[in-house]
Amino acid sequence: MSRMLKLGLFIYPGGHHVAGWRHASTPAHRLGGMAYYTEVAQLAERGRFDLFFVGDTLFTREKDGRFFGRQGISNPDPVSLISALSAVTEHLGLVATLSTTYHEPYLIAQKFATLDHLSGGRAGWNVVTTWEDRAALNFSRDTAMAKADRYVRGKEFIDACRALWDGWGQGALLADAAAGRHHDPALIAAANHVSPSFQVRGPLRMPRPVQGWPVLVQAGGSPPGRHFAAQIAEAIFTAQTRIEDAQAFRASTHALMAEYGRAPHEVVIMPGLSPLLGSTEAEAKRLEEELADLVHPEVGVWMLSENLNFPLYDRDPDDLLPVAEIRQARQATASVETNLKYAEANRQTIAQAARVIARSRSHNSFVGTPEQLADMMQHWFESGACDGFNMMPPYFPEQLRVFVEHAVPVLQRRGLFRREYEGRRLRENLGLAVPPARR
Amino acid sequence: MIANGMMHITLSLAGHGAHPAAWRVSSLPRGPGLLPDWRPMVAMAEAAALDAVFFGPWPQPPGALADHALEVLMPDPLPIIASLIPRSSRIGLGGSVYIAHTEPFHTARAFAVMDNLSDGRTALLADTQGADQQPGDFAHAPRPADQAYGRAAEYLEVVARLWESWEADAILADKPSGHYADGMRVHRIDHAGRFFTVRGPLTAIRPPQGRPVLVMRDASPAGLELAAASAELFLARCASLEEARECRTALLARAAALGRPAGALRILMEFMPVLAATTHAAARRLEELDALAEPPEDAAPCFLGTPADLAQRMLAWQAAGACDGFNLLPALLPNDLGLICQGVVPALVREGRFRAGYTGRTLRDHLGLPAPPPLPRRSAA
Ligand SMILES: Cc1cc2nc3c(=O)[nH]c(=O)nc-3n(C[C@H](O)[C@H](O)[C@H](O)COP(=O)(O)O)c2cc1C
Repeated sequence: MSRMLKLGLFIYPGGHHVAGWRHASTPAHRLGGMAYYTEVAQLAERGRFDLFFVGDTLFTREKDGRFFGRQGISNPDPVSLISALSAVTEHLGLVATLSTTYHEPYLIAQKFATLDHLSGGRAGWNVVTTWEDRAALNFSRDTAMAKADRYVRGKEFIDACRALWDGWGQGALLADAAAGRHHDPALIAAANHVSPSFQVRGPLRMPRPVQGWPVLVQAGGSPPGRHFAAQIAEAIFTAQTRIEDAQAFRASTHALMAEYGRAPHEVVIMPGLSPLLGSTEAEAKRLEEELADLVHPEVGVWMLSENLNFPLYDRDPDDLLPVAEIRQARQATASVETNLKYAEANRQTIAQAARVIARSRSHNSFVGTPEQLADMMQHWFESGACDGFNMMPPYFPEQLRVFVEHAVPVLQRRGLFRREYEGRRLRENLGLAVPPARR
Repeated sequence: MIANGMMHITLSLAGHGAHPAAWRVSSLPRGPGLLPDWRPMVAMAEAAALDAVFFGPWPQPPGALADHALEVLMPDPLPIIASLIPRSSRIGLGGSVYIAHTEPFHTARAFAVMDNLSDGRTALLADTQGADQQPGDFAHAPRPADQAYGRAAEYLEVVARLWESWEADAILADKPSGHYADGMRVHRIDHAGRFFTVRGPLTAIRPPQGRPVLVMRDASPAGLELAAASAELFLARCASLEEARECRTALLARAAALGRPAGALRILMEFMPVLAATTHAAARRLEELDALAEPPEDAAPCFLGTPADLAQRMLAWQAAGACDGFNLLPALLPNDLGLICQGVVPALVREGRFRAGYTGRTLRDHLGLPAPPPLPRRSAA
């Protein structure tokens, strides 16, 4: 069989566009409720998506130390949401983000083992080390751990979890009622994990997950993050806006994996893609303007201040962006410097720069018809830029419905995407092997 | 005395039943993985309009894994109750959390989200004992009791403050003005205590119940003191009516001394019912189960008899002021649960002491428990 695209649905309450919740079709009052997420997940399953993915937010969006109410709500607790959705879907993979920085391995290994059994082998774990420094303040710490240390801890966390999952051999659960043998103690061994971060004895009191391990997902972008992913990731989420960069990212990921003795088929690389679809190109462009107009100017200035890590709230929006002052105040990262140079060259005011930033997303965005989108996806896929996409509709559920009803059939007709699920387990659908049992 | 004379009934579900031999004779099917499928059990309990079902903790003797005859599985209760949310619509869903090895922020968020997904049907069972812990699995060795319970009290206060960090009417979702939430009604908690420093606000909107119902069962002296201070349901194991009445009277007196209003704490007695059409047949059932595996010494007291007998026992204990209701642990699933729902509950309904159907929406409605008064805010923001 030829290689097929893999599709993830990246949920965000309201949508991925900052003003998505304000779109007329978005049920803004229901974003915390079961009906909304059920509708979205069942739509994704109807569109034969591989997986449904929930991010993790451990700090609220703020402006001047106070909750910023012009933003929609945060992601719901990922494990709670996907557990609930396991009961209203049958094939959809369910990926929860969870931080290795603010948990302990034993209970998390137990949690994902539970989830994988409850869902019949559909669980995935987006392993993060938590990029929001401010999250530390909610966990009795003053500052986040240094990035390199976080990833060292992350690797040790995963080693401990795998040792716990592997502690039960295949078939260790006998459930032989007649003979009175519930499990075979000879097939169950302690984890005895010892590392600088953790000492975990085990064994887990849960059988090995249906999939061996939940599918391990990672999205690190820094050198330590990418090395971590090269070692453990079976799916990688990434933000890539140019096809050349995506090709280079995929090639270098494969090369890094080779350093750790892993082959390219052991990973699925899925860049984010946010499509705004219309039945004609003109309609899609009109929708784009409509959404841009829904971004309140304060939201633009807020996004700009967050992006530049420099508060611009008290300034006159019609003043020029104070580029020199910002450079002086902060060591600008590469992406911030790009924005500053652009603003400088175009003599942008704060309001103008804010409007630009509110439109751009760090992920790849697309505006056009379903056919045009399919062309783009096919081109990326066939030129080695990705194995699939993590879809980020700008507002839910309407834009997801358009994608499922109009873009998915095009991809299917072209033989690029499944018409039926390969199986019930996430690993089967992603084409990933079950890690061999150790006993 | 009980004001309106109505009792409350909850269930604890585990494995194939509370009796250690249940797995050998149970007809409970498996779900899509290797765990039992509890969904039909919850549907049965909901059809009988029970107040809530609880999952976990599942205490096991140390070294239980070495005994091939014991049902040793110990899943995480939270994914289980979350997965039951879309499969039920009225019944309360409670899950236990290890206080000693978790962070209050995670616990507050998980329950806030589940309470929203379920329209206000969740309960947090605060497990302060961790009787099912194995040494060596966690970073912290067990703490000395004064520290463990001091930390638990502070943990639960932080959780409550985080739930209240969003005011009830903070969500505006006002598309024309572009205000999703009113930032003035979302607050930091700025908690700085002996064990925790937590800034807040929570990254989840306020639970519909204000606070999910707080349940405890730790009967150690320090556990009882914590329950008197903050539990809303206490699950107790008492061998006799007199013992139960003493336990309840003492706990309620302590709660009152701590300034809690009457009716803020309800006490449910635990039984493991083994039921049959005749007492003789029930005794035979228990003998058969015991012959396969002996229940541990600290198991819930067994009730042996007919459904009518159990109903009589429940009416008598409640009328005597021994409890506000019962947490039942069916010995064998689905058998004993079926007899509870089809035999015991109808008898109680006929006596006018249990609801014939739900009248409220949230678990607090079922339990007749008002949300505790909000904690005074500390932070300006
Ligand atoms: C699609 C996607 C989703 C992400 N979701 C989360 C998340 O929910 N929580 C989180 O802490 N980090 C999340 N991240 C951040 C990554 O885990 C990672 O920290 C980030 O890409 C920067 O890489 P670095 O940690 O190597 O610097 C996400 C990244 C991507 C691309």
